[in-house]
Amino acid sequence: MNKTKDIFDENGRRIPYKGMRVFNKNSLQYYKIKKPENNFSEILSNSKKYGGVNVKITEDYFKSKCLDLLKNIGSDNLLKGILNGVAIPFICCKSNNEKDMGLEFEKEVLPSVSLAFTENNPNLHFKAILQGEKKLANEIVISKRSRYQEFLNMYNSGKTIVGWYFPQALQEYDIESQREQMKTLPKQYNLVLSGMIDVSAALIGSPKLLINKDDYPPVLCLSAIKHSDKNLMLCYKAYGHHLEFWGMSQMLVPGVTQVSEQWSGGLTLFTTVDYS
Amino acid sequence: MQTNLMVKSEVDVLTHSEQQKRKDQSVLRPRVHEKIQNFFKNMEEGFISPILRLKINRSLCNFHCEHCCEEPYMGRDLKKKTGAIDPREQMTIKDYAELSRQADEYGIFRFVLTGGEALLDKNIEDLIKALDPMKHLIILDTNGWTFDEEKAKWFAELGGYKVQISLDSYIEEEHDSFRKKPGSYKRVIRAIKAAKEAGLELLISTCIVKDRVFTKEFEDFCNYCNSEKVPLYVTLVKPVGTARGHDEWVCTKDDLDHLKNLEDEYNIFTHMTPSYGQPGKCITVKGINTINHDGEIIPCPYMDMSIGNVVHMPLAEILDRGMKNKWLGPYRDECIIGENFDFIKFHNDSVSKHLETSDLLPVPYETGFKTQGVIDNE
Repeated sequence: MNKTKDIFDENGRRIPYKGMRVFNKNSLQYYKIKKPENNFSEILSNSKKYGGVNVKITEDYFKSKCLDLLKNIGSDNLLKGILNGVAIPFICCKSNNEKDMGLEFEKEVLPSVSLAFTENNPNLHFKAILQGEKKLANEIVISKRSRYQEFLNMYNSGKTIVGWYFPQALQEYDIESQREQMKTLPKQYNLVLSGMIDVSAALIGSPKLLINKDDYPPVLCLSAIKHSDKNLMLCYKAYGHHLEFWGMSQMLVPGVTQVSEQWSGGLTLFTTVDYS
Repeated sequence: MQTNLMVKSEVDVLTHSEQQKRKDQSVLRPRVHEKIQNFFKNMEEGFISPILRLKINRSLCNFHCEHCCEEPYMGRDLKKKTGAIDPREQMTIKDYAELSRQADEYGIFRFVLTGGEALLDKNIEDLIKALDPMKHLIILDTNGWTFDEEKAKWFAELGGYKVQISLDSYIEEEHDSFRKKPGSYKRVIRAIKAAKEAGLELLISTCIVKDRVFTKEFEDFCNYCNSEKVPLYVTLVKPVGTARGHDEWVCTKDDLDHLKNLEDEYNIFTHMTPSYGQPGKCITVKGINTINHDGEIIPCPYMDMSIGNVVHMPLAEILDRGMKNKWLGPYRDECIIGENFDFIKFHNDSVSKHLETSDLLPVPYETGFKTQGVIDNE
């Protein structure tokens, strides 16, 4: 791969290479997230209130760490194009002792997302639904190709994580291709496929992320994690202005997974900060 | 932070009445119950069980509604344009019986009878029997004009399951004017009463144009349905049929977002409301298919393009190729014929091109959907 050639397009979407299953080779960007203002103060405040982030962390510190990350990746010719797209700053830390990912997601993370969303949008609902008589507890594992383990190692060590979520970096890719393309990304950055903790943290910090009066937003796939039922994909999605978490089938027809124009895998860039 | 959030399975999200209805089917129609159970068990694998909506009797209708998407399929429209009647052969009762067999084998459990006005078909009783009300839920779509106490009793005794009655405004004059049929409102109210008394499942359907969801009339309508304990099925006017060219009627995302909010307050739904434990989405092929009187399958009630003819090709093959079309199969939130202008352009261009050489809709598969969006075999 030519290291001087940008691998992201003018919208910050990864340019698909041969073998990737995508809806459109050149994305039409039909599904949109409005470029947010990224109010660091508000994001930090929400993350403290709903996400258990250390109250001593200041806005200036959070913002400077975030901007350092961008500066770093912006100097890489291969990756800088990712900054053309929507980028959501987030901050999170593990505030429980739960070891099972599914249980933590169900009992800690989703309720926090729910509370952040409904308190910031009092007339709207948050729902969490799994297709089939499925559960999350003891059923969630990491996709090995996602590099998400690196993120979780930091998270589980109790460190505070600061980062950016690029929700449309892999828009229109099927779930497997989202995972597969990770092997072609450089390893010197903490750049991983997005999963449940980081995307949830982004939604806790920015609870109006998917509210869009003019356009339909993409479905935010959590492709770094897998349910034991291989037919299910996990995601956040809007329903009108409401927010929903779904474990839904990724099968188009029996034996064939689907490539949806609306499904969007994300990439997450992160670092840890010394505020344990 | 902890809340009492419940991660629900699809069974949990069924309402009490849905669960009760399912239990009832296990006694009344064991085969239907079996198919519903199988659908729930298999849908994660990619199995579908769409409603088959049968447009019977060359869509004959006794109304001339302003917004009707069906007019171009009606014999009267064709006669007006060409002076001739529709030359295509209609599906016979034998064809419908074969369709019922294939649908049953596929796991499909719902047929809607519509038109035009389905009750104008003098063969409707034979048709219902051929479809087999013990194997399928038979739902009757009607404008209510002739659906009186006697007709409701007749339909219930035949094994009919549900009646879907159109009411386009809670204000009597508005409804009658929209439907261009004085007295229609009163007949609808009579039909609602008759359906209830006959013990039929019931829903009211209403067609919305842009901004109607924000009106006092619509709020009153929702309250009426709540008080009558009748679900309100909301359909969206589409830029097709007699509404072609009336872009000012087409709903915006703002209308739909408001409707989705109202779903939390009232017993109302659209074709894109989450149901059967599935998220809200465009339901082309996977949720509903319309079958024209000549057997052409149209993957959405508001499209004029076919995915195949069930008289000439197995139902399962047609549905499979419909699902493998990029526009129709994969997940998407928006109503593509109502909101996605790329699709609307493809659709309307295909229809216009087709109408240059034929007066008959829908556009056949070969010159329509086959030309765009076929997913390559991988």
